[in-house]
Amino acid sequence: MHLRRLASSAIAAIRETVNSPAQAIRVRLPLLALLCSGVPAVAQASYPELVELFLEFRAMTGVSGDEYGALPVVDPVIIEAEAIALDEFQARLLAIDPSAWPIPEQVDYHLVRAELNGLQFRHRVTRPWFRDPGTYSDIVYFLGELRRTSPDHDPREVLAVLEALPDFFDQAMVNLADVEAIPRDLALLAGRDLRNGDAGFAAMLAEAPPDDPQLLDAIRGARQANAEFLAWLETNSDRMTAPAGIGRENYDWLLKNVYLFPYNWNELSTIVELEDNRVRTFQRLEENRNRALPEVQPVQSQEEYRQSVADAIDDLMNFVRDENIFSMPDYLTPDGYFGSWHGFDNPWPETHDYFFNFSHREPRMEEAHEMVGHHFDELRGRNNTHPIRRGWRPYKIATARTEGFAFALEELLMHAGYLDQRSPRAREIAYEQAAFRTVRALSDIYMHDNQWTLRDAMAFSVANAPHGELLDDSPHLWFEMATTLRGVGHHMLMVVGKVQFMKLLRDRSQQLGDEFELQAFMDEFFESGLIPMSLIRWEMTGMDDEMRRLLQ
Amino acid sequence: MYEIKAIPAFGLLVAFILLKPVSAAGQSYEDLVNLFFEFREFQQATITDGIPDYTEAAMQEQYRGLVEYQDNLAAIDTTAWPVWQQVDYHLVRAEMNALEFHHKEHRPWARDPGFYSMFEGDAGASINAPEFFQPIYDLFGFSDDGPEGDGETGEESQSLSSEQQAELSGTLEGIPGIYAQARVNLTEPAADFGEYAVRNFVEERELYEEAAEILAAGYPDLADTARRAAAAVEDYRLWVEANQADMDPNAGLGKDNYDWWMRNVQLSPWGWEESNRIIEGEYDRVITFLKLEESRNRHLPPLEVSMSERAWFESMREALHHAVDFMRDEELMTVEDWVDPADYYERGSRGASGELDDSVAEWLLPENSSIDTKVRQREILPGEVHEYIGHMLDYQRQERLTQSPIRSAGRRFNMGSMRLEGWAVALEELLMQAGVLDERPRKGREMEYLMNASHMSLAIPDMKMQANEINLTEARHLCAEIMPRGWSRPDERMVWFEMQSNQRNPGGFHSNVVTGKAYFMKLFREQAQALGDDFVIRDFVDEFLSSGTIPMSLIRWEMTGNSDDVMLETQPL
Repeated sequence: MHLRRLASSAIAAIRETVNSPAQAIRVRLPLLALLCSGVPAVAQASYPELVELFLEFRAMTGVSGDEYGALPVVDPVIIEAEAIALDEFQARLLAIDPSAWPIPEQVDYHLVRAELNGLQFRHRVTRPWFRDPGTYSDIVYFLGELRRTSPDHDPREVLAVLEALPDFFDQAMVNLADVEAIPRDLALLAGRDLRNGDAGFAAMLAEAPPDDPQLLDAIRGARQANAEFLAWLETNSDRMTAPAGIGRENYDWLLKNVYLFPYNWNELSTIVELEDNRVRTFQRLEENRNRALPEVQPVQSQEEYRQSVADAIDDLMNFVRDENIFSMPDYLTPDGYFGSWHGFDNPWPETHDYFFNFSHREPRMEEAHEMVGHHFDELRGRNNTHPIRRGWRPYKIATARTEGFAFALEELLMHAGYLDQRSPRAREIAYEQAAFRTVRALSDIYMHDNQWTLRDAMAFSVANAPHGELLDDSPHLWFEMATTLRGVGHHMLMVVGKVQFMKLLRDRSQQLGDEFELQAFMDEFFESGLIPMSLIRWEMTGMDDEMRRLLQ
Repeated sequence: MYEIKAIPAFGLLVAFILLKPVSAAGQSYEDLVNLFFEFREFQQATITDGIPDYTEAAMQEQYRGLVEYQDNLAAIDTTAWPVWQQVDYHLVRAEMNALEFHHKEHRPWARDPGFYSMFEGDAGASINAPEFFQPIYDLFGFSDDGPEGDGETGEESQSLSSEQQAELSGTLEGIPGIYAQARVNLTEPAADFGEYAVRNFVEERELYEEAAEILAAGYPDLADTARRAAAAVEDYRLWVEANQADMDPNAGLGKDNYDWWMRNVQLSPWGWEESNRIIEGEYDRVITFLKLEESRNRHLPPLEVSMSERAWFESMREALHHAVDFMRDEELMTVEDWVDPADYYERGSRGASGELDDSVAEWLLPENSSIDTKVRQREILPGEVHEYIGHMLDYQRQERLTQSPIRSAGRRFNMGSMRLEGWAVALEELLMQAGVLDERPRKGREMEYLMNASHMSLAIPDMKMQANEINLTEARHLCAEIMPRGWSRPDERMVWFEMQSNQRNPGGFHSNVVTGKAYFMKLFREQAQALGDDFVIRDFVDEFLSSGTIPMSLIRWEMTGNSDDVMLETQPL
């Protein structure tokens, strides 16, 4: 997901990436009840008990994907209580033996297991409350984005957050007291947000209604607290020397137990590098093929951009329908999507952020990714009534599925013909985009292996991304590097998720031979929900080789 | 599919042979060259009692000699040499590594009944005694390396000098002895190897029978000797067949050995796991692209299918000229004046120089055609570009590269197969991405993906056989099972032959085909990234080809100065 989408789902996105906020008050009651009642051992647990366990767990962690705007819970007592409760949940889950269940129910079991493991990883390894200053600066970033992308919003919507900020930052400095445990790169990212935040608060003050002293006080207080937290961060930054990468061993654990990924670090670094080699080669060959053609000129105004996106969306809808790529239930429409992140109403800036370099020349790949990929997936998730599978998964459990699929569409629909009526240069742009995504994935895997620092990864990206000079110091670069450094594996999952999608297609087509039909395959694929590719594959094909490896 | 396999430029070898025992090496490049050609000579079998000697004692002796060669090579200090000479040093080292592996692990003379053949080629190790077999090659007009060359069958009424008669008689009389020795040497034969031998030795026997026919009129004694040789081959064949049940069910040497071979002989950075990942991933991708292309083209009329020789050869001729023009016009490769596709289509077993027949050709009927033929009947370009631009031009170009006598001598042990086949296979898809099919019927793109899938249908069984996860029978069935449209069959000749190339070579064969293409794209990407806007595809391709047919990691070293893909110190085995 890109920066611009934050406009519509800012906190949800941040939350998915980094932290589990918004569990503040709700967490206490079920948690305390749990701690008092103890956990009875469950004999011969049934599927309904799994569902019950899952719903209780969700009640504790509060992941529902559609709540906004609260500050994350950073009270160490509650965090500790959550860790204790998690142990109990895991013990309960372990007591359930799903091996005799039908595969779809076993899939659900492993989904729940992955989610518990996701929280475990957060408590054991990433420990964002104690290790990542960004846990506290995210809200400042969010406020800035809100101003930028929704200039007309009522500032009183965030009054409560502003008023809570001073206490929140006080708690931050307590929680982050072990400064040697803080990675330099994470401090760097947080410091940048806080510095930008100061200007944001100043602008808020200037824009706030002068007859609202409560709001004005709240903004001033928040700005002051922001400045103090930033000063604290800068004073201590010399001692924040921990590596930001989680290391290969932790990465492998995460892959196996949370992402249910059938590859380890070694294997996926090979996979990503091979994809990089391929899309780079294809990109250069397309470039050569098109070298006598005129360059595609980027759109020059919001009006042109809006029109080009509208056309692209029309084309995509018709293409998917006419070419029978997948079935289109009535609820799959661009309603509520068009313009949701494009910023059509914003002034046309002098300098565009990096990714517009692609979408202003040919928006179809981007729209395939964002609309056919993400927007439709969101709608499917929302329309899914399954007690466990509906909605989105936290802890990036389904990122290979959602991002991998969205990314796959960019190139794969091209092979199915969606760019046939466009300038051949569009194909070139599709490969440029792909090459940029592999560059980000390489940043992910080498930063987390601590072979590269954040600065190394940024320098690599600028040097190696197509039109890298436009990437230098761009908001996009900062955002995506933070996304993948703090949301471990994010960009790797996008590239390898695409590879997993192709693997699934191959397995299914091999299994069905002449009976294979693209539309039926895609529909079946969606039917499994937004879950790890390994579980979809198991459910669709019955092939259990990946699961056996994951359960070793 | 891979018809041009000869080891080129044998003639050059002669000029460098030094007929003396292992010489203490000097320190110059010339010393390396001398050592190399001496080593090539050394690899040939000793002739004992008139026949090539692969007895235990002879092999122990050869191994001792090998260690001396390795010591002498190690004594050469190459640090001050230019990179291309250092590269040559590692070519020699890798070849010695290959022989070391043959002695310690592969032991084809003890494990592979098919080893005892006069045919050299890429379908497995065989007796290395070209001088011994030369009189037979001469009889049939074969080139140095047996029937894989472009020889025509000899005249019925040859006249032989008395010297030639004596030589031929010596060779033919030795044949029964070879097979007597084989029975002793084969102490640990593998069942799958036995299965190939049982099939292959039908042809080997027939060759001696044919020799007898050629000789019958003029030289009845020699004809009798040839018949006895044929009988010895047949006895041996039946012996192998009878003992197959007791042979080792595991012909593969396992993943660790595959790793060692790839890293120390083929000098690839990729061992079994990485190679397997590459192959599986390529297969996933190609099937996906195929299915999407099929969807894109589903309203288009079917492709025309060439059913006559005329249709076949005319489409070939047209396609090759188009492809060569395309490479020139699109600035993908320098096309020198000497390049002429007619070299290809007017020569060879399916040459088009004579009268072309309009009637339906037997070999084009669905029941007789392999996947390679089926795709070419519908879109001939990618497959024939593989053969012509990929292979024939490659050899023609190699003959013009004269800087290094070591490279001109060609690579043994499939050492260059990632480069040879990787380049040819890369051309199939990459030229399509570059636009070579743009003006042709679009369903032809499906044919490219199907050809591509066929490489994987051969490479996947290769990996599994190397790891002993499946045996030959399972491999043949797997191959057919994963080839889309049912275009391969477990019992067809192509599948048998290609599985043999896979299984009888350490490091396999078709796995190299796929990983070689992957390496080509790796090098392409690295250079494109390093040079940025200054990257020119034609310059890259020209430079790539000018290194010769050597392991890709060495080409990378020459091109980029970076040797970190090369295992520079031989790993202990």
